[in-house]
Amino acid sequence: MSKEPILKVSHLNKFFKVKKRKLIEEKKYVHAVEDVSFELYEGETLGIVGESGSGKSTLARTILGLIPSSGGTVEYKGQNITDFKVSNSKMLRSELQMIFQDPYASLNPKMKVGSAIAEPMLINGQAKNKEEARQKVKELLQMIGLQPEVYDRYPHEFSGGQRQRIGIARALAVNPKILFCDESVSALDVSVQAQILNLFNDLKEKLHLTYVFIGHDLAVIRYISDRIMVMYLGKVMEIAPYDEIFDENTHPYTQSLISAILEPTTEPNAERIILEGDIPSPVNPPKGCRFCQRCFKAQPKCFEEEPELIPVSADHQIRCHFAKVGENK
Amino acid sequence: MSRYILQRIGRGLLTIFVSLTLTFFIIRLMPSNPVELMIDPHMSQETQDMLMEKFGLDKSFGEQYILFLKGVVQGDLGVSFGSRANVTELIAQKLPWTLLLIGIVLLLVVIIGIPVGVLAAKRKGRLSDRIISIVVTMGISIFIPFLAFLLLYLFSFRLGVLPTAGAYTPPKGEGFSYVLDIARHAILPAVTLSVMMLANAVLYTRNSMIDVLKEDYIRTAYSKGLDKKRTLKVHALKNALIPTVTVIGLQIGVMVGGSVMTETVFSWPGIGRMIYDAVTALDYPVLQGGFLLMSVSVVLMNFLTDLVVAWLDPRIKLGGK
Repeated sequence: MSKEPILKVSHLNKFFKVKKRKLIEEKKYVHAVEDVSFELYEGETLGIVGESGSGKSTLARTILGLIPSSGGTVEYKGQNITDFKVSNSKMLRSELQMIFQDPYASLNPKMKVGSAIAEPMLINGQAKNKEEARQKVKELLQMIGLQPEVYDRYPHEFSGGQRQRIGIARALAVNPKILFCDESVSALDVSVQAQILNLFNDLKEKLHLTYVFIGHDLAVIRYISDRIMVMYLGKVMEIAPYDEIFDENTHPYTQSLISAILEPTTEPNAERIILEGDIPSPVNPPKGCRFCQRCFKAQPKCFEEEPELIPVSADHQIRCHFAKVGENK
Repeated sequence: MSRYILQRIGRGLLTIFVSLTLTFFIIRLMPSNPVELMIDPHMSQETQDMLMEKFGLDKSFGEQYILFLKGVVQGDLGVSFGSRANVTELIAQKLPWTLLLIGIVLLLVVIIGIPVGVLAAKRKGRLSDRIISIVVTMGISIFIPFLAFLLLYLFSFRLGVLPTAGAYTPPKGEGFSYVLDIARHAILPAVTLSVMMLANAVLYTRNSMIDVLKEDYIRTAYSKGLDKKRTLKVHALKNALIPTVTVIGLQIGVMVGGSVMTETVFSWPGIGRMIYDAVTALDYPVLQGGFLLMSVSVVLMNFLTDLVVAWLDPRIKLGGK
């Protein structure tokens, strides 16, 4: 791992306006992503977990400029690329690519898969003409485990797993450096999930990729990630290296997520932490700690004062009043 | 595929046959008698009988029906009661005028309707979209003959810039001035006919475009690095056009049978005017011919629309296999 981060996100915000119901009403915002900062190093896989509505996908889309940000900066290799409003945005587009969640909806049903994969090559200049693009697409298809003959077929002729492979090929078509995988395996059944995850690992070695892997299933994230970032209600709750996430000294929310991982055992899971209630409304987030209403460790202090991200070791930060500094290792 | 086409042709022929039969009997149930309109009481009995025989009106409904079907199969639609003209030739003479209007309408739909629909979808909820929506609603709900009279009153009577009736100023001119003359005459009827079609085209394009723009694959297109223009054109429009094509295709089919109201108001010498005149004169053969043309064109346009939609959307399999 090199010291210089390839991607640096600082205090990124994304608020969505809430539509007014009455004529005179205070403007309200959904705090989808709030003050998120992290660094991504070349060659690593950063996993982002959190339950539905915690702002994981919004974060990825904001970083990639697919939706405008409401504040904060994104730096790629030292260059400020916030909202992609830069002159070399085409080059950046091809270096930062995203693989989407739903392999059924994210492919244009009226476009042959070959043309869909070739399109970004032609637009971003990775292939000079259609012939060259066709050749490259066929090589790509082979690399991701599909027959090159599928070039002239339509998306609806493929299964979910095959479509996700096509989505991966599409993202790889422009030689990206960083791949954002937004719940890229959640729509697939478990055996196919494993195949695709292995494909991700193979490609990472072959093409020297850096991944940001978003998911709600900690079992999947743990399988693929070097570092894991836990989000809750738009905020980062914890960033931890892979081997520290299962320690005692973690955020209570992380602990509850870990306790939810299914283990191949018939023993009753005595330590299962079941959270009460739902994720609170992101329009009026709780005043104190975001997690206070559902936390099993909550004290009066948690309802009053929002904790900062506390560094407990070199690469490990926790947003909790009860984090023990310096106890890890 | 060939099996599917055969099936469609068979079904189309059946539809045409049923509509022919219905037309045949319905027009004969009209509460008036063509004989009284056509035959002068001062004519001698022999002449009257001869005419009755010539038009086959002395025979029973059943016999007339059989003769009519025989004629249709042989391409003979009979002779007009009024003008004594061959109905097939009459239609061949009127049809180009109606097709000319349809051509203009179609052109307007493609060069105005669809782009405006796309624009409205792109600016959804903004002022321009709201204005377009209001105009479209008015276009759909306006009573077309009223609009026709209004245009006629404004442009022909008040301003006097456009001709009031017909398709050209007699005598028939030649060359470019003739084309120009027809164009001047065609403006008002074409505009009248376009209003509803345009409104429909804008509405359907806008609504399906808005749906398509929310699809995941549009986001995929942006993340590929496509600009907005190309995304709209290549990824969104082709997907969004299906409802527009369906609606326009079916409406065109009906319009080939003539726009009775509009053509009559503007005295346009097309199929619609022909049908209107035939109704007032109880001219059975011309009416039958007009309705035959209508059912054929509806069946044909239905089929063509299905083919175009299947071409636009590879997921639709013709023949259901």
